[in-house]
Amino acid sequence: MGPDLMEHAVEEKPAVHMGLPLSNGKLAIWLFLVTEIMFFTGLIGVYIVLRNGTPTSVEPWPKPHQVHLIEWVGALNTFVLICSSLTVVLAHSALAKGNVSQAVGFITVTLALGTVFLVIKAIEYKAKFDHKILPGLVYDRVDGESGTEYYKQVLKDLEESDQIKIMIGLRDKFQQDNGKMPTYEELSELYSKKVGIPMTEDKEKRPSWLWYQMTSKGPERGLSAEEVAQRVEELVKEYPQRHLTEYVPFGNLWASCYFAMTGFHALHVFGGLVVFIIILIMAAMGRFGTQHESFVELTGLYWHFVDIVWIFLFPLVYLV
Amino acid sequence: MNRLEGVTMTEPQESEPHAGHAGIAVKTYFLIFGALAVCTAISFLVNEGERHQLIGAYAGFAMIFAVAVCKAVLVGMFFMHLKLDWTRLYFVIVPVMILAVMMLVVLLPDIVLAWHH
Repeated sequence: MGPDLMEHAVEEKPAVHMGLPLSNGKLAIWLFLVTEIMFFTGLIGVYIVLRNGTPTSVEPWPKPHQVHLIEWVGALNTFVLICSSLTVVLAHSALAKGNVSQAVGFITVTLALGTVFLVIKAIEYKAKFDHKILPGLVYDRVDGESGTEYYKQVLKDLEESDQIKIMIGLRDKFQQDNGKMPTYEELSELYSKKVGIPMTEDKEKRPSWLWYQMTSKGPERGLSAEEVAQRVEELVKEYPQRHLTEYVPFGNLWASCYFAMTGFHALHVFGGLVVFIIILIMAAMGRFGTQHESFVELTGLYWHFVDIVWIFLFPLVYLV
Repeated sequence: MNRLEGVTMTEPQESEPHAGHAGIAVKTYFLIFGALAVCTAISFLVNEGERHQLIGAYAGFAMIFAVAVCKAVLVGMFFMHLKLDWTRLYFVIVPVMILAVMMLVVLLPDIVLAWHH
């Protein structure tokens, strides 16, 4: 008996495991994530390269207010995603400890936070659509044909206001009665009498003066597209409600980069939400348990990656 | 003697990937979350400082980018468990990081430097 035991002990070899010290699922998700890193590097890298490659010393890259970007909204979205990263990792932790209902609760919160992110993104996109900050629709040049188109667009914006509509009527009537065009002062006086409100602000700061100059063929000459762009930039600060179309240098390039980067990121967020919905459906059907710990962990890895992408997107798009 | 004696052909220790994760406590997750929230606030405040010309443009950019890198490292190390799994995953992640930087560097001469010169 004794020698047999000894023989057995000598022949015992330590177990050797084939393959990596890593589960197949984890290896697979990381291989997928590194391809996604390259995907977003392509998008973000091109944005960085294009932005640094544009001659912005004379005409700077669009400022956030020019393209209707609000920094605190981006910061809020960042915070929402960070919270969702916390809740998904807490879900995994809860599941690892065998607390399935708590894990399902955390997954629900993660889904809700992801939805909040997409809703805020949708509101931001709506602002872009409303102001026509879309690739190909931004007026980013004021020379040649583009300048003429910009001139017509600003005139159209100005003539949409009630004030200018009244002034147009008064101008036409004056011309009919007197056989000549009124001066701006005459027109302003007629307008003030009609509405019963005097025009007190400085003439140069009035949208109506810009309109008059753009349409005048009299002593006050018409303006060039460049001059119109400069005046609109000043008026937009005083009269944001007039929705005057701004000249935004490199605006189309900005819009293309913005929608490409944030659009693909939003699609990735949506993909993550689909997986969370699947988990919740499984839980509702009573088919979700501690055996899905790895599934939740791998989903969490994907979700954290989406968060990391936004961590870089937010400063590049909203801040710098 | 059979050379495969003693070799286990099963999934490499189902428990091993998760055994180390017991090392990251829930309290740590909350601490990291707090750090991430603070970092986000710092980036926002630096940007406001830059807008009001309290901080220079280049200094502001450097600070904001450094904060972003810190946040990414915190998320990667703690939330993605790389603190525990790094030795098992570096061979996948490091080459991609090199390639990502290379992609930018390769594009710079034709698009950025050519213009500025």
